[in-house]
Amino acid sequence: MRLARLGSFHQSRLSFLRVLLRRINRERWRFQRTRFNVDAKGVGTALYAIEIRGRTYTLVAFAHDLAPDKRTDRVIAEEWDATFALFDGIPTDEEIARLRENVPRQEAGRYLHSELVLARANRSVRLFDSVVAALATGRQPDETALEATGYLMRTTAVYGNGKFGIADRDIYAEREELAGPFQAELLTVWLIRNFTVDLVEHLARLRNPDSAVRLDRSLRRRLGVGNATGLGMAPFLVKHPALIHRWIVARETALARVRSVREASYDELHVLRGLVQAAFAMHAGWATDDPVQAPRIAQLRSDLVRFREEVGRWRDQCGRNASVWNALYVWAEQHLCLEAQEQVVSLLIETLPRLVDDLAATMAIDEQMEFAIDGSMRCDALRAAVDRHYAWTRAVDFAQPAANAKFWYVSEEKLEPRLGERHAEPGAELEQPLAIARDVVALRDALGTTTADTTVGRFLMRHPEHRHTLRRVQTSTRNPYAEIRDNLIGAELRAVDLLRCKLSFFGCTRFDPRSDKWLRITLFQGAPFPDEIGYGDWDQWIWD
Amino acid sequence: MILSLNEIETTVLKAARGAGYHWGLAEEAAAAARWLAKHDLPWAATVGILLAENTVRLVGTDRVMSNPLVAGTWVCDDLARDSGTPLKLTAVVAPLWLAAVVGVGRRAEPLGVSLEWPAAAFGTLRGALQHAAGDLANPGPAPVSIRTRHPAGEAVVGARTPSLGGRRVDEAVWRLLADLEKRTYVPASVRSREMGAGAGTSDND
Repeated sequence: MRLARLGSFHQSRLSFLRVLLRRINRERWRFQRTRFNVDAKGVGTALYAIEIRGRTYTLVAFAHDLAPDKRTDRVIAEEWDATFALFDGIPTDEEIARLRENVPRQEAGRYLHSELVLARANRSVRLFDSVVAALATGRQPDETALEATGYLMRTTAVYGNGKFGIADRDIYAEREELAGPFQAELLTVWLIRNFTVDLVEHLARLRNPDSAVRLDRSLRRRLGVGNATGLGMAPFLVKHPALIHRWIVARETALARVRSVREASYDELHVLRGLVQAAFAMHAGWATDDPVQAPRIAQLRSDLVRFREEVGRWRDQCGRNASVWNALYVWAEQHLCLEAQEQVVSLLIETLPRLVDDLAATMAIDEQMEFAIDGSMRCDALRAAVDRHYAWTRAVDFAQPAANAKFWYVSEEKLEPRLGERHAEPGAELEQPLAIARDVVALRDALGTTTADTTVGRFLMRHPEHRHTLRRVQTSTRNPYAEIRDNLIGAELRAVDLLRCKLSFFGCTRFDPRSDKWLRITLFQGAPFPDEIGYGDWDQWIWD
Repeated sequence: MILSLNEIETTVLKAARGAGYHWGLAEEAAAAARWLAKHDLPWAATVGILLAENTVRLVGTDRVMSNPLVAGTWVCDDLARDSGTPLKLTAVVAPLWLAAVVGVGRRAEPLGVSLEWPAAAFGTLRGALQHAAGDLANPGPAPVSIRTRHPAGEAVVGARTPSLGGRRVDEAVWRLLADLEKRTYVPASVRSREMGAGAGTSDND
């Protein structure tokens, strides 16, 4: 649970968007574009309905004509190229009119529990315009340029769970199709992707009705949805310890199941070798200017070549050695960089889906059940729990300025989490409770002066300032993967590692850090489209 | 204005912190607010008292048990031992919040809890509301009596069907919460603007 490792995670078949797409195809969700009224300037409304188990969810899309000087991915933006809501049901004209008054204003609007998700997106200007221009003249767009960008639009926020009055997750958490983590949000993004392709084809047709062509299906698959994500998302992993435990333990259980299989057939190892090759090819399109990430990608690709050879060696000796899966993992751990080790985990999980896929259903949790503090616990037991689960905090010397270099706060201007420099900026007294290691050290010190048989309840009467930390410690005793075992206010912190960990569980690819505080990624690149439900590969499409 | 439960929870969390509660007690206030709103109980009518300076200041004094959040957490702890003896608190401010903290804190406990204060009665079982009647919005300080109940044979009766009623909040309360919430925000500085994520980058690419 070190941040460097979490920040090296890759998507896997347990990632939420892949789980969603498998389900959509397996259950044959019914999809329909029910409205598409957009003019030549790209302004208008589109509706996409998707039906499952007698319920209909509708993506309501508003397309806008955005001046270039208004286009920013930052949270300070007030206008976007397109804005969206996922509506619970089929909206009436009155409801669409209400949404048209609010959705384009995003955070400044108000919403009802009939809206499940709120989102917005900006065009990738260069690619968007060139694709429209090519299609309008009857040509397919340049494949290299399309592959290099990988999306026509990038979302700059996707809001769920009660934001600005939209539905709380409680409302749909019991619905089988949306019960998994972030399924409503990712369904929205997948439908947005469909809208972006419809939009370029439509604008090309309006520009030149006689000669315009549709996007070639294989090229269309290469378009995902981009996303720009900053610090707003970073505290999530820290604020939801029991949920994060579920995500990590599912992944670890999947890996443990694969490693414990004694036999490996030639065919299985051949499949794995093919997947390694596919991952190698996939990462060829992973470009970044980030001085930390760029050499990591180069090392990853080089390590994947070595791993492919190792898999090939085991494949050709097949039947003569037991515990091949474990041997491969151990070899990777001993010989490869962190990026490659974590890629190997995803690939091993990918190779034996029959052992893995049921774990997707274990990755959600009712966090409210984890909230209560056990006040009857004795302080000596609590101290032992701190020693057992937070021994790693002893490695940090908080007397050193570098260990306290940063502080997390909420910006009055942006109303979003931000990371400040404690020794150079004002506001540290308004710090958010994300300095877990430092707070645990303070709790440990306070416990040191408390008699062993004092109950936690009594301790907290005297020390209410430790209540939030103590709750975490008790949560960690039940959920051993709950805690990131690093100092989250240290000078060396790279916040993008937090973002990458979360985004890998979403199923994102092409992590492109734009600084140590925000990054761009791609979702659904290579994925099937709604009009392909019932056909083709909805399982391993990401490796194509 | 109709809020989502998540908005109520996150707003009360920040407002409670802004009012001066430690983070852990602010978390209790937030969870209690969500629980009350979900059960259509008058959290908005009483949240001002909970977050008033005089109520917050009780923490750390010898009258700490008059604070409903502290009293609620203490009750959860004491009832966990199930001594069978009713607990009596002499003067609790806004006792509805004490009841809510108990409702939230005992989700996993098998015993039901009954609470009474002047002209009001309240019962919870495993995190669900069983009954709530009378002067629930009593500002206190009021005497509160608390006892555990073995739920054998008891159904969860009288549980309210969640409705939007508990999520409605008037402008005055919303302003109060917003003002307190604002105390937790850090104003922008020249340096924070320069250092902001994405600052100075062009997105017309």
